[in-house]
Amino acid sequence: MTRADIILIAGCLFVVVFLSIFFIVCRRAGSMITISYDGIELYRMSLEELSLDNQTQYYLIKYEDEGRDIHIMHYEQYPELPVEQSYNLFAVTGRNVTMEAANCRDQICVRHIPIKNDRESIICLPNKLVIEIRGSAELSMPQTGGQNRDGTPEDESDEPLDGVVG
Amino acid sequence: MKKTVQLGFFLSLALILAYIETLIPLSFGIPGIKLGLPNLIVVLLMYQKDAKQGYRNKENVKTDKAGLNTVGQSMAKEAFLINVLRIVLSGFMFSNLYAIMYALAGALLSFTAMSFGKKMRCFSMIGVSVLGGVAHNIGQIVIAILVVETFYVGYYIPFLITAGTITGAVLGLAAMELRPYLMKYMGSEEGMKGR
Repeated sequence: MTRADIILIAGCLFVVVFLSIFFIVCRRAGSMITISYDGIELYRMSLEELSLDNQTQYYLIKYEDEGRDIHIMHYEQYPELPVEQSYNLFAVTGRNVTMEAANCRDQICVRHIPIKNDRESIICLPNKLVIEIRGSAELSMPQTGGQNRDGTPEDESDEPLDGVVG
Repeated sequence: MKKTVQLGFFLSLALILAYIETLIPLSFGIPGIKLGLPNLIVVLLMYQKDAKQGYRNKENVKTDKAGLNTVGQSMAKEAFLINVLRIVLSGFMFSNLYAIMYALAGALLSFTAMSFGKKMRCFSMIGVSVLGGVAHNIGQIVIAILVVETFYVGYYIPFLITAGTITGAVLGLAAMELRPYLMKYMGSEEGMKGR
């Protein structure tokens, strides 16, 4: 181990500490959740509305017609998962959002740590899904998918989205 | 011919390590963090000298002593080849196309960083390996930003740099310890001279 090695490792750790402090200082608790498919934002919902009574609520995202038709369904209990369709199941507990299940092969999104702060996200690459937390400062409505403005999905209901892809 | 056998040996070793890595259920909740065991082979191979050529071109030996990075000496090209082949093969065997894309981006940046680090000649294998580990993770995050079109995956960076530094240092240390044995059995210059 040479001196340059030690300087390199120390430098890396310094950058880490610096960045960590930066991110911790800039951290703000999020209040919105956005759901994007293939880079296009589909939903923007209030976390408070999604987490009813601080109990875990489940939201199942189903992809139909190769992603041209995406539904989100709300369940109070852990739902039965689709067998043939692609899906992502995320849960909201208080302000924490976790990915509970997905049909993707790598399962990276399922193993992801819970997210709750502004700009944190869970990404499921195989399903092209991004769930992102946004801060309280941005309560503006999304540019796309304007029909579902206050799009909190109701119990067991289908909410087809128009003009999702292409 | 001997070289072909050697490279096949290295490739299969890298693949075995990639397989072992899939067996270890190591998850930190942050995507992209893994041990990077196959990189051990890449680092070792980068430092390995092409014994046959070194032996044949005796007139090259002088220039070697002046500047160590003479053409035909270092096996960096072979290391790169093994790296790419390993990613494609293990990608199709153990994961998917997305993973291959990620791994290739990481490997490309990591290899560039390691070559650069090795050329600087002030780092030991540990330093070179740390550079590789960190660069690999940064390459992956860049691809993530491009694929997902979100610029806010940045909060992963501290985790990824930490992981890259630790795994890089450990692998570099392992490579340093393994190298004498490899030199002994894989036919180093000294080994060839003895024949």
